Amino acid sequence: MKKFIKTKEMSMFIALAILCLIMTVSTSTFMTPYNIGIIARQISFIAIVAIGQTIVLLTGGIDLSVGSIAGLSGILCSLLMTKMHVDTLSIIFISLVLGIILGCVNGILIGRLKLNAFIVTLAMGEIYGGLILVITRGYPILDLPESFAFLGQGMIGLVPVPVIFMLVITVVIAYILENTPFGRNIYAVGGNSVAAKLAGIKVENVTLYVYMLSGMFASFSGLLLTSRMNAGQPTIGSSWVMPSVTAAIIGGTSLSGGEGTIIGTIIGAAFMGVLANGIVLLNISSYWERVITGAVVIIAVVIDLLRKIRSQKE
Amino acid sequence: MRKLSKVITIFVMVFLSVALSFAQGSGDKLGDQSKLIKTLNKPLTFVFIPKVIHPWYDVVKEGALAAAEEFKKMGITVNIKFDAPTNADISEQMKKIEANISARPDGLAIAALDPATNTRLINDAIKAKLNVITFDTDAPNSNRPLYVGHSKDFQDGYDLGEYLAKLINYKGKVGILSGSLTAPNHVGRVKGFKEAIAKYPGISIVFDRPDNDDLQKAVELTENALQANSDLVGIFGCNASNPIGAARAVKAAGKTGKVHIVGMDDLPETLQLIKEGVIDATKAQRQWEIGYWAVKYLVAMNQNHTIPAVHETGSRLITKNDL
Repeated sequence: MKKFIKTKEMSMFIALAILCLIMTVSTSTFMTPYNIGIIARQISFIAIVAIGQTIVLLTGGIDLSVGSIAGLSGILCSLLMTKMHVDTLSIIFISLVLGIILGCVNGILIGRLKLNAFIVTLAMGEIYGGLILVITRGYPILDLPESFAFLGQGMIGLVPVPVIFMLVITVVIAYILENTPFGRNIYAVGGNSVAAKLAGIKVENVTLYVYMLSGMFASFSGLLLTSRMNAGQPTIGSSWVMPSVTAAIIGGTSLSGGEGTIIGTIIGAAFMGVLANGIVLLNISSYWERVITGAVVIIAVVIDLLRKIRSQKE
Repeated sequence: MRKLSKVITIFVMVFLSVALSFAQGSGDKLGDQSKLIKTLNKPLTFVFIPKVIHPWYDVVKEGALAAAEEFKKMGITVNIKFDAPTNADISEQMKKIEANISARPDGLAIAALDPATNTRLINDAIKAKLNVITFDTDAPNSNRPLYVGHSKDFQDGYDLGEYLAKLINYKGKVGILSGSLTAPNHVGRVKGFKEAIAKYPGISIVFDRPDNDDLQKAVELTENALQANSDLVGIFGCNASNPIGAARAVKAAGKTGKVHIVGMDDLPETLQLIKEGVIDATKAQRQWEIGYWAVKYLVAMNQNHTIPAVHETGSRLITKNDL
């Protein structure tokens, strides 16, 4: 418990709680079931992508193709549903496999050929993003089956369905990272890949797997958003790359690898979601939104640095 | 006996007053329709959600503020808020719309970035008992009671195609800057332009490239096109920024007058370039009117007035002669 209070996750959690408190006191519209519902749903799409991104960041890599993978998967799944009448359960499975394949290309290029992660994922993102336009010519794919709407728009009791997916994925991945050899290998590769290699860890394989996971989560989130959007939108995910990295960084993940947690990333995503919602409810001009989000990232990194310096002194 | 007369008197009086009140009530119900109109006793807040932050919407806002100013003189306070997503991205816009439904304004005007997705959001907002209209771009399949804007994109592109064809004597090479492939209004204008040009076998379209509503991209694409086709005679820009981009490149290459440019809208730089003769003609929407009438109708909706389903604000051709 004492350990948790000192962690950066806790300091971010306190910041999130304070933000929610300010919003509750200063507006009458924040703490309503409708508003909490929409915030939770908005967070869940980006959080699922950010979980994949966090795993990649933990190894010291970065995945800039998540947005295009989400979009391409959303489009291909929409086509399968409208042209070949694939049912909802199968389409979930297909989207996961599709994401793994798309992520696998990144993983092979980065892990096996030792290419730079930034460049590979940037370029693959362009390729996947271009394919979206080649396939759709810019038009959305309409008339998705009614039953498919449940994934992104449905509610179980008061909880939106995407939120449930997010919570399940969070618990599973957090468990894997902390309690399995694979999870520990991810931290080891990010902490010091040379030492990890000497310790007998197959660094190429770990790298391959993390990009596959990142692709899988991006693809799944793209499917959920397609359902929420009620159409296969060519622009799905195009604005997800920076928020997925930002959520992880606010949540305490280090860009140099080896440090960070899934819980932190979820808190980071929640913080950004509440902030974006607050900017609207508090009547702050939308021109300021990006300025504020950028400032929050800087503040989070500086606080993290101060905390590190203090702990080194101790 | 006295007791009985007292009881009867009271009974008669009660009966009379009840009968009278009924008579009064029925007189009210019939006829007077002005009673259907609600008086406004609190300030109104209207939120506009454009597709993206863009100077084009600043003019819409001017119109909206002008209408608010008029209402102020009548003793009705209207607060106007524009809340645009920073990217023209449907998921960003969706967040804005959802958050603004939470804020429960007295009126919500939405520019549909993508009709399929917006339709569901608009219906959500209407279900939440908000006054919701569409402006700029419509979502015709939604339950929105009113659309204010200009929807004849195909016709605009077609008219500009005709205008350009005449300028170049119905022969030569022309090019298209096609804006954003996902924006229905850009797509519509390009389609209209192509249809007009297709009537003239002497004219060939030698390039057709998307600039994504990015001025710098439009400049670069035009520079490349001028390099590749030294005998280019015309360029069509399908949005507010790409005729400016094309004009800058043509001007820098010293080809003013040799390469004719037609495009959309009336941003200050566009008007300047028309005056200089670099741009030949544009079709300008009257987006000031869109903002003005949106506010007028939203106030009317709050007063329980009846409103039309569509208010077409139209567009007009601007050439050097108009300036």
